[in-house]
Amino acid sequence: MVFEGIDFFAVWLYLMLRRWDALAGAFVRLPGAPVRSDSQVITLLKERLQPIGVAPKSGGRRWTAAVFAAAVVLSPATSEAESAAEIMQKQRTMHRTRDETETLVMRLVSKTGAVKERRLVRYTLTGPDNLSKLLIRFLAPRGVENTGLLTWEAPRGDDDQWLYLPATKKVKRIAAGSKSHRFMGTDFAYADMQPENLQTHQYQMLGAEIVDGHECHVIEAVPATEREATNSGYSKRKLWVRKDNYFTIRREYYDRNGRLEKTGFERKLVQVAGSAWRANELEMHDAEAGTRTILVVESRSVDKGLNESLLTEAGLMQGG
Amino acid sequence: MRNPLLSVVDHPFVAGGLLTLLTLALALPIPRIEFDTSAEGLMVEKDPARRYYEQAKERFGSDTLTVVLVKAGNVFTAPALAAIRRISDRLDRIEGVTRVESLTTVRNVKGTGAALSVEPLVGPTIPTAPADLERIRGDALGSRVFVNNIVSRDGAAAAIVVYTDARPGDKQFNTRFSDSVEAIVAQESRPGLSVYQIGTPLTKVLFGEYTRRDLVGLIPISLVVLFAILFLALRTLQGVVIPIVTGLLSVVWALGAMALLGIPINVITAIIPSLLITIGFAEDVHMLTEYHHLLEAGRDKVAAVREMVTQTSLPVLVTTFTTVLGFGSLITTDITMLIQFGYASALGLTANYVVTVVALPILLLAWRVPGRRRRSPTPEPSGHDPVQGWIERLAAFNLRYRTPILVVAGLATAGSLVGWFTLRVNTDFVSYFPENSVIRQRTEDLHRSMAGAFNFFVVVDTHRENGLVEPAVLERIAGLQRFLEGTGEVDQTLSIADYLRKIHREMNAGDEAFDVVPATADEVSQYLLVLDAKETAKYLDFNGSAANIVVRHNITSSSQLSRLLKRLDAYVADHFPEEVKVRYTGEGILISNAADYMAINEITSFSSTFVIIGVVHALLFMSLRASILSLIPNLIPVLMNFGLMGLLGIPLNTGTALVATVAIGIAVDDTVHHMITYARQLNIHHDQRVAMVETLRIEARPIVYVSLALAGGFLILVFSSFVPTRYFGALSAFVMVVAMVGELVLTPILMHSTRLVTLWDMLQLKLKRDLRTTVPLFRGLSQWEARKVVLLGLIESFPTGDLIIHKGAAGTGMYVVISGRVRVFDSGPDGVERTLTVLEVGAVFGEMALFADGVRSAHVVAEEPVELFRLDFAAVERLRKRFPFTGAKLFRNLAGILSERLRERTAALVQSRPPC
Repeated sequence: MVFEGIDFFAVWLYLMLRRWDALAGAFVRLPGAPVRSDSQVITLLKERLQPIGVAPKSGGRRWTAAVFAAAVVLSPATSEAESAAEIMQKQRTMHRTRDETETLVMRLVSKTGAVKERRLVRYTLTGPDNLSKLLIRFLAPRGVENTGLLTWEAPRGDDDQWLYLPATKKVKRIAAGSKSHRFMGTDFAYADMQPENLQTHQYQMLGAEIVDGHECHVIEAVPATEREATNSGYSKRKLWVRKDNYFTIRREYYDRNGRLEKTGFERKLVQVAGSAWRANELEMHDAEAGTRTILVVESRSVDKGLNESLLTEAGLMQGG
Repeated sequence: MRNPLLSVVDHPFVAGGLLTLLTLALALPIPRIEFDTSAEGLMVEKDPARRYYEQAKERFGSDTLTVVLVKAGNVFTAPALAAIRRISDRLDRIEGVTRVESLTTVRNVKGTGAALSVEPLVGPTIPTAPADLERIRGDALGSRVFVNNIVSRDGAAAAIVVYTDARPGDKQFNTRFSDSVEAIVAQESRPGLSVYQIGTPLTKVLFGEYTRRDLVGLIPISLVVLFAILFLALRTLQGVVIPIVTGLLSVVWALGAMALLGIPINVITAIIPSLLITIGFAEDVHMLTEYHHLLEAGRDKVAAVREMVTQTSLPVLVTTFTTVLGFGSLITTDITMLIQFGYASALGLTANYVVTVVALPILLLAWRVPGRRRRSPTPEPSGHDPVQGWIERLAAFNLRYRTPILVVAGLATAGSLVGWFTLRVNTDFVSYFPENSVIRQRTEDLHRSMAGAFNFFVVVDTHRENGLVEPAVLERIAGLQRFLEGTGEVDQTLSIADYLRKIHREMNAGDEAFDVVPATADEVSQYLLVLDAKETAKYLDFNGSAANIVVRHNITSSSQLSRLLKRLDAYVADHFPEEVKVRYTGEGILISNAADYMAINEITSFSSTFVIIGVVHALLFMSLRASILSLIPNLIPVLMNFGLMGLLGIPLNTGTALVATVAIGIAVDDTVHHMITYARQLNIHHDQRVAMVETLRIEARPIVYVSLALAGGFLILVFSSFVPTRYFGALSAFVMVVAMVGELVLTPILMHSTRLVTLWDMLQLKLKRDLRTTVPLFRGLSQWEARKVVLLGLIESFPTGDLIIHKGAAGTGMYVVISGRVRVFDSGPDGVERTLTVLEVGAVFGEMALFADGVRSAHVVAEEPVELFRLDFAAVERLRKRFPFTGAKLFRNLAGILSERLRERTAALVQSRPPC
């Protein structure tokens, strides 16, 4: 039997916790084997699972029971048994707001430590269909003032993005294949500026880790569609999602060859509205180039109402 | 003073044992010796240009580039693109690679009316549909940023440009890197797809390989030729084996010393083993010839060895000393490689001296006396030796045609000076390799397909943050690029202006009219936001204050490069304002400058070598004049060499510039031997002509053998893999032959005009204070004055019964008795011999002819073996004119002697007269 994406510990854990669905999800259908659905796989696994003959001493049984008990005690989330996809969905729902306005300071740090500073404002509007619209506009330095990027999340497939360069007085749609391009000289790609697209990714639970004193699920995100794989430029990403508030505080981005390209951090979390949290500091670190981009939120207003016309092509050109 | 080297002869086993131990000790570290294929040692230490270069690299990344060229009929096919992608990915993973640029890694900015894409030129999946491939082809060939950079204009060749940055001090990087690339290339090459790598790292590695090949291949051949000639010359086996042994031992010592001191084998130090064997064996020949002469004169083996050591120790020491100083003077240059060579050669030559003076006598003692050299029972009748006759004719020729010879020599030298005006300093590393070599062919091929494998940076610095955003500056940069490309000497230039023009065009739906620098600074700022910072990092620094123009070219000649750069300077002076600083840099430029600087350095160090040798000779012969005369026959071949180079268009570079130093180091040694022997012969025979003949008889053979063998050995270098080494070999052979002719013809003539007494003989002259008190003639003279006087005269020895002065003969000089006794006598009219007086140490005789009519007044005979100091009247006159004070003292002493004699005679006369 071959399992992908989980290690021996995880297999044991799932077996102990009777997480047949997780095992079925990781089960690899080998070429030449009969086609099986998940429930058939679960049946197969149950068949194959044989208890090892335990010595008919009561002591042995007690030990086994003690081990199981320990396992139960050690894994706190056993009763919840969430899948990675469930967690990502929950994340989206929890941290949704209707609208947001943020002003940010962006610092670009070169390999040698030199710093370039920019200021920008970000508007986010989430419609009743749960799709978001984002507008990012530069405020400073003077040369790039009013340069803007507008993103409309699409239900499935590519989001629409438009770029406005005031000096050219033109708005250009950004072609889909450009998502992997670095945004405005930062370490963030255009793709990184878009909300997590649950439709075009497949999520796999890798396990759990403690990051910055917080317990996190470690989830692997892999492009689920050909198109996503082509456009995103990442073969996979790893996400560390906090167990307590379902906020992703760390991301690792792996390039086409499977090498670690960037690491992203979200820090200084604050609860902004209801169940929604936000990070006041974001950092993207390019391991290879040695550069980093740091975004610091200066001010934020949430759910105060936002004019929808702002997040249109016309709105993009406004102020320019 | 006993010659310390005689201890070797007295205790051969001890000396031999020590020698063996030292040799073993020095042989052990040899495997540790480094091969240095980096060019770091070529750059000038502490060169401010180097610091600027390092800073430019910090800002814009490395300039060290390797191109992996992929040739197919059409690279825009799925298999070719797949291969390019595979190669690019694998190259990116090699340690030390900072950037890979190829069709599959670059982004293409493309705009339609409504949309802008900054997609990769070739997406993650390589398309197979012809339409997609056509589109990619169109995009690639339509962009000046790609054409001639990563793809050829006809689409038949693609280049994967790899920038590398080795850690400083990592001398093995080039080998590791080019091997890794070679592995990748080998995997991808197949019929229909030709792949190869070319670039600075590979060139350096091949340089190293060729050097190694030369080292291993040529040296044995040189040795064989050298020793074949030696065998023909000396005709004994020991004459061949002993020099081989001493030569090899000194190579072991030298390599061991190099390994211990961390001096690597680089392209220049690689000639040291050859050099040691070459220079070393010359001394062996002199010593062996002397040994054979002594055997022929009747000495037994041990006595012959001892006397040989005594006779040759001075010349060998002097020649080694001057050669070591000569090569060692390279330590004072600024270039690491030359400094290393200076140390290595100085150490090697010293080692060679030690090995020779210790091993050679030991080996001779151990060896049977060669049959040929044993003293024949009947002495050879002189004059029937054909060589002797030839030498006599040579001497006669020298004396007879003194003036014509000097005139011819002068004219030949002057004539060759014409060539000096056309002599150029030029280093062309690539043309070091022969035309059919891999490097040359690939470099040419790359240059023809796309852009050359060489590059340099032109950095335009406004020193203001975002200074480069100004369209005016960008326009100037574009103008500079047009200028450079207009010279026809560069293949391609690329700058941030090119990227901005591209995106400006694409933002306007690809309209060609917009292929210009944007008109406003804001446009530039905003475009820069859109461009991929990673790609543009090579062309624009982080805060936008400086731009870098990467110039790709195929120029390998240092003189051509510096001419181009001068034109660049002129353009910049005309077209750029004061506040904007434009400066070029790059490893190629640094090496080019260093190479030229090195050639010039070698010439200046050669000049200082010359001066050093001159000073040493002046001290040796106690005469500035003798020193100059010793240098002339050696300077002439060198001058003629440079003249010849100029006439034939052979450039002066790191290889050919060494000819002068090496040639002088070797040629002058022969002169020293020649002159020391002449000085000795002058002391034995009082006749300059006889002395010249005798000197030639002794020295002609070694001089000819050594020169011919050396010329032969150098000529072997003509088979080297390196072009400059071939020139070095041919030119050195030429210099050897010319020096030989000069030695046989010029040196005797020049020496004829001077008296040579070596310092050694001076010291042996026992000119202690007591002589100045015991010899009235020298009374009141200081040490130096006494020596000056002695220099003007001759020391002569006479056995008992020899007639020193014949009455009635024309007197040309006066004598002072140094040791022994002479008897002055006359035969009266009755024919009876009557002794006038007996003269002892310090006495003067023959002086009267100085003041009278020059006819000898009495006979003088040696009562016992005497040593006499003879002062020619001509010399006395010279003394009087040149050193009047000393002359005055001399005459005062003479007057005193004469008056003393008069008083004695008067007293004797009075006593012998009957009373009147």
